[in-house]
Amino acid sequence: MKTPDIGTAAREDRTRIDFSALRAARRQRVFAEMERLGLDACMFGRESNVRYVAGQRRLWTSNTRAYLPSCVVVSATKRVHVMSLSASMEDSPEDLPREDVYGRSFDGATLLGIFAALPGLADARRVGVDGLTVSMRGLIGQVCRDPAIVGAEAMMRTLRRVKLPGEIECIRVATAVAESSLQRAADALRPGITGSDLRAIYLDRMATLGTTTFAQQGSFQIARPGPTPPWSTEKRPFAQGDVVTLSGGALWAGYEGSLARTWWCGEDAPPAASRTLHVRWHNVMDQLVDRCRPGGSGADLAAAYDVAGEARPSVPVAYAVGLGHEGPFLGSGGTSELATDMVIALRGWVTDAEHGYLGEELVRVTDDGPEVLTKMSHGPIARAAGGIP
Amino acid sequence: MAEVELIRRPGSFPSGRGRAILAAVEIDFNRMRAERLDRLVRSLAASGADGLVLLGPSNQEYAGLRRPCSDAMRVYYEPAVAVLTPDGDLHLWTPFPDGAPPEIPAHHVHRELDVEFPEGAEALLQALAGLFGTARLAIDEIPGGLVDRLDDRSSGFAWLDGALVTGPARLRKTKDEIGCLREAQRINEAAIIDVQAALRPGVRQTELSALLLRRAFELGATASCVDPIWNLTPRDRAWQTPTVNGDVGFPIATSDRFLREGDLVLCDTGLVWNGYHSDFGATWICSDDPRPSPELRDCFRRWRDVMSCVYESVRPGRTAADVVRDVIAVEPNYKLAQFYLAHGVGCDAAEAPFLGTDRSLEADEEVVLEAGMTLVFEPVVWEDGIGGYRSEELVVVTEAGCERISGHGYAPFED
Repeated sequence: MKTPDIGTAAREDRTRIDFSALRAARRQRVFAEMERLGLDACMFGRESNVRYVAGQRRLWTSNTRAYLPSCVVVSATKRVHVMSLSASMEDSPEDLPREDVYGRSFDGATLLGIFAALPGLADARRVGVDGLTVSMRGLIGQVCRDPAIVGAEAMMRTLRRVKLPGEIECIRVATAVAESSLQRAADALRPGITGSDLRAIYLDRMATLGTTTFAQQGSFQIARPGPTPPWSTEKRPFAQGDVVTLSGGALWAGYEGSLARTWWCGEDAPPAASRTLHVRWHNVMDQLVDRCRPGGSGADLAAAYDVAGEARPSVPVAYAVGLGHEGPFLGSGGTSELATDMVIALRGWVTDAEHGYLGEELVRVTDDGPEVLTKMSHGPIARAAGGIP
Repeated sequence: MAEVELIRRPGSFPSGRGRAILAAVEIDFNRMRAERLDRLVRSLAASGADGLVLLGPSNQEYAGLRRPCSDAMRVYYEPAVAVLTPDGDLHLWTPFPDGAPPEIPAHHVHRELDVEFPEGAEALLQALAGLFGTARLAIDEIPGGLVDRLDDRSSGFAWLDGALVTGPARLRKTKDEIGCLREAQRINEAAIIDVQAALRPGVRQTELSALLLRRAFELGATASCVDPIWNLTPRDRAWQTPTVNGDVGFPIATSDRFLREGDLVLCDTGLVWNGYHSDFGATWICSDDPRPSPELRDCFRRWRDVMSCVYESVRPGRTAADVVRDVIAVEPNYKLAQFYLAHGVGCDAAEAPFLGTDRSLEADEEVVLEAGMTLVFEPVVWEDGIGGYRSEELVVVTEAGCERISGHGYAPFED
């Protein structure tokens, strides 16, 4: 065992996370998986996949963008080529050779020329992509002379879900940053403050701690009952007696730490109904956490709600976390098997006629049982419910 | 009666000095959604496609569907799909049903489809078959689960690029859209007042981001869609980290790096209000005495000459090539190699039309300016060894010419 040592700065006396080794290990895993699946090349457009294989840290934007191949991985040459958005090598890790970085272009012919010049790409017969547009499919067809274009997001999702030790450490830091930020917002909740003000406090703290990119922008909303947990932010100022959901997530070194809590707005003690909801939520969450074991499945996780006697919410109750969201374990992903060193976000959402209660935790699957990575308290409602942390 | 949403909200938290410059504006969101949908329907008819499938959040926003602002991976895995039929019916599959526009009938709003997985993609194809039968469909972003089905003729679909529909529809903004852009820009610039005041030697880039985000959300911003940029820019290209094209490196992602006495800082911030992106850019000097040298001030004067030329040049009927040629006549070195003279702005931070990219001038001949287009001009005038000046100007093309939406000044360069 080690005393926890989660921080965002480098230490002079020990290496918290060896990013150089982490980049090499991730890259090696991608090449091995491409070989296993018979992929000659991959052309990635999603920032998280680019980050996984190339370690690139480019300008972050939220939401998705239309697919553009901004990272090309070639099996034959074992090279990773990346697009620089700023033109600067600052975008790229120091171990990436300059000749493997290409610029961007708004001109189709120039773009074609850039890709045609990447060694080995033109000979690729099977090309994996993590997204596509109709136009880009045409361009890839020209570069590689009518290759088989196959989906590679499933490959990356499967790979990424099982974490290397350094990745677990990154998630711990991201979780600490997210908790610190959400705690600031929770501490500021009082009658008269708005959800947007709480978001301002949350993002201020996150950026001050060194991470200006978020997994979730943060939602601060009255916990109204219904099948869907709140996701938007309340427009009117919060009032005495509001039950408020707080949810958010930070990205640190690209890795996500996300969580959600339900807080009480006001000085007086939360009413019995809220305390009851917390106890019901706790029962569901205990069941969810206990099911995070190697060999378990998404279906097992969903059954936690049934065993606890609660209705399943309309949103996935469990999803993988790593370089951002890595897909639900339920719905179409219900057959996904849980394995050691996966990190799973668990959503607990219970309601009565008046209110809802939301709590989200991050859990690491280990051979010795589930490890809950989130530490933030459940605040005044939990305290009133009898000291359950 | 149309629902009118008041933008100005009472301050409930101690705020910066920026709040004072926010003015009350009224926007009719119902009218805005109706007009946008109408444009999409007309553009769909002109495209030759039988239907439009939207996966991209900015296109969905344009179609009226809202969702939380998140990292891209969360958006991929909490997917919404919006489908538009030629008669204007919108069908939604979303994990955020209360983000659906209120005028959409409840039976058109469905639970989300897991389109990153084969089963979800199959369910989407089934749903589309139910709506269209065999059809030519325009789609903006092909999700992971659909990539392997794209060439599958048995699905009964031929696919077109969704940009053929969304691009023309989104090109010209409505009055309400322009109102949203004005408000987004005002919030951004109001927040910047405090940030610029905090630019003192020894501040970290991340601290400026923290202050910007704090102020912007206090002022009512609804999303932060671009990591704020405080580009530490050496005054000689030889002193910077190498670039692939030899030009100035920009935009470089923010980190905890210190900004120190004498540093030239190129900032670029984009905050969103009700789906519309602002764009603020300026050149700052981090110094106890931030007065620019005469040589650097000359770069600013040349940059102003470029913008004066732009304001003279931009009007309906002129092409992007006309404007670029006018600018080149005033200042041949008006941009960074990896950039352009201007980009459109709306539900995306940078969208069509683009002016003065690395495409040929012939390509720019095809871009004809029209009233209602909103453009961000971002020329850069750079002199190696001295530094340079970059700022951004948000402009709307009007019937008579153009109007500046940006309201900021040019300190510390202004005379």
